Order: sequence, then C-alpha cells, then structure tokens
Amino acid sequence: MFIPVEATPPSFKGFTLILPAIAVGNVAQLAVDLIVSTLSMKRVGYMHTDCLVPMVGPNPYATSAEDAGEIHTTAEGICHNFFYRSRSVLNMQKKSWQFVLTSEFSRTVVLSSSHAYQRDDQQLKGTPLRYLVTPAMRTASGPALTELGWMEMERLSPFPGLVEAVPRLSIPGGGVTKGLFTDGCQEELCLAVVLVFCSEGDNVPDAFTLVNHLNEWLLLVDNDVTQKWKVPGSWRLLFGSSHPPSIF
Amino acid sequence: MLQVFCLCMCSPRQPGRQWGMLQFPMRGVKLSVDKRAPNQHASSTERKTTVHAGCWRREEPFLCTHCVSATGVVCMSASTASIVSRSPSKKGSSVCSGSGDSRHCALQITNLQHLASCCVYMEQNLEGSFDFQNSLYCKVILCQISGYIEEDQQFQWTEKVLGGFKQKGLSVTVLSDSPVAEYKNMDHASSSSSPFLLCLQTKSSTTNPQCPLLEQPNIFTGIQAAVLSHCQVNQIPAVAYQCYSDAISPDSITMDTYKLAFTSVGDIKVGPLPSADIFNKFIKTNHIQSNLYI
Repeated sequence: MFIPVEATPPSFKGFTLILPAIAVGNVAQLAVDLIVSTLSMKRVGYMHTDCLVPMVGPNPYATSAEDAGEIHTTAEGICHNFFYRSRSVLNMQKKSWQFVLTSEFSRTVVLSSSHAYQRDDQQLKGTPLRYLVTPAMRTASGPALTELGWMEMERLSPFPGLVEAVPRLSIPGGGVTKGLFTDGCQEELCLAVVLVFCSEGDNVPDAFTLVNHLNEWLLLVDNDVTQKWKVPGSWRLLFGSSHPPSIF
Repeated sequence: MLQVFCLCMCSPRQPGRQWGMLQFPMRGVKLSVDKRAPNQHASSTERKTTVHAGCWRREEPFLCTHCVSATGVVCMSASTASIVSRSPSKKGSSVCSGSGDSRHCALQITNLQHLASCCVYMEQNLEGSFDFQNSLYCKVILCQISGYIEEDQQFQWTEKVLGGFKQKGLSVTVLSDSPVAEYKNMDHASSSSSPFLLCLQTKSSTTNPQCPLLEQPNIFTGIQAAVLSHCQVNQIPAVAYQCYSDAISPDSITMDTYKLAFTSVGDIKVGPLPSADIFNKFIKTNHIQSNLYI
C-alpha cells in the first residue's frame, strides 16, 4: 500500500504520525493541508490502494510555476503526515492500521471531526474541541494534555434518561476514528484523537480551530505569530467558480 | 517505445473516443493473452475484471481512410462482447498464429458486472507467433473504454490493463473529456473559449505537451485519474489530456481539439478530419426520447 518515492524506503521509527480521518466537513484533511503547506513538507511516498477513489491533480502546495506541474494523487505520505484526498470505498481502516503497525511511529495523532448536531446537553457547553488517548498515550502525554486544559471526549448513554444504560464512546460522523482508537487501545499503541464538533459547510474556520488546538500540544509552529498558517493554493474556489458575468 | 492510448468514456458524448476511432484505420491484430476462452463469463457476483482471448473476423467495414504513418497502429470498433464471441480459430489458445481467416484477434478486458469493456488492438506480426509485450513491430496500442467503470473497480481495472505491459519503454497517453461547467477558474474568458484542452503529466514524462497544464484547484477523477496514478507511482511516462467542452454531443470542433494531443508523438501523423458521411456512421445523433411534443 505504501510506495516510497525514493528507492530506499524512509524509516518512520521514532516519528509522530498525523493521520486525518475522512469525517464531517473534511476538517481533518483541511487541517493537514495547513500543516503541510506551512511547514513545506515534502512527499515521501504514495498510498497506492484500491480502497480510495482515484483522483489526480496539480501540486496543491505549489509555491512557484516550476513545481506547479507536478501531479499529486489520491493519497500520499508527506513527511509523517498522511493525506487522503478522496473518499474510501473499501476497508481503508484495516489497511491504514496495518501500515501504522508496521511503521513503528513513536506516536500517532488522528485528527477528526464529529457532527455538531448530535451533541448532548453537556457537550453543547464550552469548547467544541475534544481529545481521546489510549492507555499507552495517557501514560506518555496524559499529564501534558490535562495541563493544557483539554476536554476529554465524554462517554454518552445510548438511551438518554435511562439510568441503567452503560455510557459508551460515540463519534457520529467521525468515519474510521472510533475504529482506529479502539484498535489502538487493543494494540497498546500511543495514539491520540483530536476532534472538533462541526457541521457541513464552509469548514475552513473549523480547520484553523483544530490545527491551532493541535499546535498547543505539538508546537509545530511558533504560537506567538499571528498568521502562522499558510493557506495552500488548492483552497481557491472551494465552492466552484463565481457566476459568469454574461448571464446578466 | 510502446505507446498506449487510452480513450476514456467519461460522458455519453465521448468525443475523445470517437476521435480516436476516426483517426486510426483498422488492421489485423494478434497477441498472447489469458487462456480463458471467450464467452466464458463468470457469475454476476464476480466483481473483478477478467481477460478473454479470442479471434474474430472483421465483418463490418471501417470507414476511416486517413493516412496514419505509424507502424502498428490500429483502430478499434465500437467494441462489444459480441465481437469477441465470434468463432475463434484457436479457442483458449494463448498465442494465435497468423494465417488466413484467423488474422484478427483481440484482447478484450471485460468488467463483467457492468458490461463495460475495453478492446486493445495491435498490429499483427504475420511471420509467426507474436508476443505483444516484446514485439519490435508494435509501437502503438489503442485501448478503448466503451462503458462506465464503477469507482470501486477503477483501480483494479487499471492494474489489470497496464499490468500486462512491460514498463520499460512504455509511454501512456489518455484522452478524456469533461463538461466546461466543471472547470474552476476565476477568469471566465477562458471557459467561454471552450472547447479547450488541458493536460497533466507524470513526473517521469518527457513529453512537451502542446496545451496548457491543468491548474489548481481543478482535478481529474475517474479512469483517467486511475491510469495517471498508476503511471505516477510506477514511474511510467504518461500524459492525460482532458477536453472541456460545452457541447452536449460530439462535433467536429470538439473533436478537432484533440489534435494537439498528437503533435508531440513522433510516430503518428494526424490527417484532416473525415467527411460528414464518415462522421454519421460513427456518431449517433440524439434520438427523441420524449413524446411530449410529438
């Protein structure tokens, strides 16, 4: 599934993997777009698999005319980020997980989102950002996240008002997020999920919210800078071209 | 160098496919393929594409008379399963010999579930057995896609087709089309000048395309994306041309746009457009589908 660009496959041992889940509003993918564009990360491989709908396009992170012509495919590994640009059609979770297990990352951060309209009463209050950590990650980074004042994702009753019902983890609209987290717990991996409650629409502000929140922990860019994230060129015309003037 | 042209059916108009059909005259073919006999369709539950081998006789005359100077260039018909089903001289054989009536063979790759098919034709080596992967005579292969391939099958389809070619010396060109309404651009003047041709090429491509590159935020999807992805990952030189047109049905102006795709291919010379009579036999005009105003 992972095909390296160079002849010698890169070693991911000891690195942090940031994995966007295909979820509500594609917020995680937009957030990774900002990270890759700002840090000028380079492509290290392709996720060549039948689990994704094929697509190609010009370089979404091109900064000049010279590298604008290089094509990018539906899913790529960009220097420890993975980027899925189209939806999955087959069991992408299983294949992604196999890759994560074999690559020996020191920790994995899954970015995701969840339907805002399915929050319960307590989730409606306060910040829309939540996190989840596996037991292994809680040991390694739990105190740091608590110190940052982050809110852990609540377990909700499947039947509100029914006292006997056991609260369970639910991430509606999160795609493979819950599955990855559950597998991470079973495999005793250092895995964290950072998600934001949002709705479908213009999700660019949600992407900025998520990536700023992540930056508080991972310190990818300097927090003191006002405009610290660089918007990639592929974000132009997200909702299509404007109306042709000739129709009036 | 082996040139493979993929003509994609991206819309009912199919100007790219129609153009390819007109430009290349039909010749005989022979190749070594999978041993499965034609007409052995798997059950409908089998979703994978399969490869059939067989021989067929050219019974319908093809009307393109334009001169194509490339060696090994052949055309395809409006390929259907019925062509492959005609009596093969060596049913199930992996190599067809060149003699008499069994000159014409075809490799048909059929998506059994959705009846989309692709026919690949190459020039015959009359002197003996022929291996299309190693032939010195075959320089160009034309691959026509005459049906829609589902999104979850496009990857497997591409692997099956392009996996049959040796990558050394291979070059791929894809022709496709799209409505101009799907083209995103701030400058409306460019979209009003449709039809126009844009392209994307892989990193290993050394072709100097005669049309502009596709710019952000536009993308290619569908089978052309699957082919280009395969070529990019496997470092095969490939160029995909997409014609953006506002015409509902194919016309001479839209089809003329594809000429630019062949200016950088040294082995192929493109003749003038055929006459209206030839057009009529290839292109079906829109039939009345509603009896509301009859």
